[in-house]
Amino acid sequence: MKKLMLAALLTLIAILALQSTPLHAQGTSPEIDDDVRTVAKKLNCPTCSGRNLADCPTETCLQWKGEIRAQLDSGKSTNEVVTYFQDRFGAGVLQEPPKAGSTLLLWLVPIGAAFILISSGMLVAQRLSKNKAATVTQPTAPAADDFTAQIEAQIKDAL
Amino acid sequence: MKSRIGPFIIAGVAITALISLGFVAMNLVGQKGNRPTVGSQAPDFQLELYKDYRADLPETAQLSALQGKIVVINFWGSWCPECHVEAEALQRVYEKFRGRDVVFLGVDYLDTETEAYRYLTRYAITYANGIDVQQKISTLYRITAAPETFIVGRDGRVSAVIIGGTTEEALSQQLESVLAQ
Repeated sequence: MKKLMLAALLTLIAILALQSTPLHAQGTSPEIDDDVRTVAKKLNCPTCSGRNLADCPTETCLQWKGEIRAQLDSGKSTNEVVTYFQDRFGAGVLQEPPKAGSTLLLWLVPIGAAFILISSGMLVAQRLSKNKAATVTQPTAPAADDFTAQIEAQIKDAL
Repeated sequence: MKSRIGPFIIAGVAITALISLGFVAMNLVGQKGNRPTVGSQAPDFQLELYKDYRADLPETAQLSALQGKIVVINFWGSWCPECHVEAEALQRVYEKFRGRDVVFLGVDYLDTETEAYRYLTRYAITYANGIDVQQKISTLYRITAAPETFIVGRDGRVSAVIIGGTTEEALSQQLESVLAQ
């Protein structure tokens, strides 16, 4: 049983590890002003998995930050600039995926998984405490099956 | 007692693992998969062309509407160094084959409009070019990096796939070969 549980846990860890993708670009991003940073923090680098646009020094991200600056200079609000990037490149560029449609799963799966684990943990704890109490309070019960078998054997003999 | 709590732990871990596995599978199917291969039907798409880069095509070019012609689909981005290297060669090949029922479609990938226009002007590109809105075309063709070039034959099937940059000579040879089919 222990081996089975260990295997199940290792499988879970392996699956979760599969979801983390290594970064392809390293280094530090050149200085950007606060307004550009505010928008860039809400966006992902389109070429490095999981990296924030604000911190990414790749050529693509430098261009995107330049575009953010240009759009802010033209009078667009930070939300309008974010919407522009979402419309042009898709919801995948958003640091926080929208809580709707297919991306809703991204929010629901971790919550669901946490709920299941916590519920299982609570159930186990409850079972453990019940069993403990039962062990303390219940007198040693006779082996019911053995007793029944004895009676049945005696009846058979008597007949 | 161990046997009583064991199943609950296993069930909890198993359910969590199944959910995570489903999530990972969804991710893999949605983002990776296989790119169209030689002989397979080229996925149809619509490309919103940049102003001044329509080359006699409508504002929105559709691949299926070009059936009967040979189509060169080139995925590029102004941020990609290798795209800069092949840009002039592509334009020369376009000029060489344009009168022979060969259409070029440049699909601008992950680019800003300002930088895209700068790139197109810099290399004096005249063939049709447009933006890959919401990465729909690059997703269809499973693009993971630029440049990538697909040659689609008259029957709408993929005739060649070029991963990475190409040269005037190599692309010309491939087009001659497709034209001869």
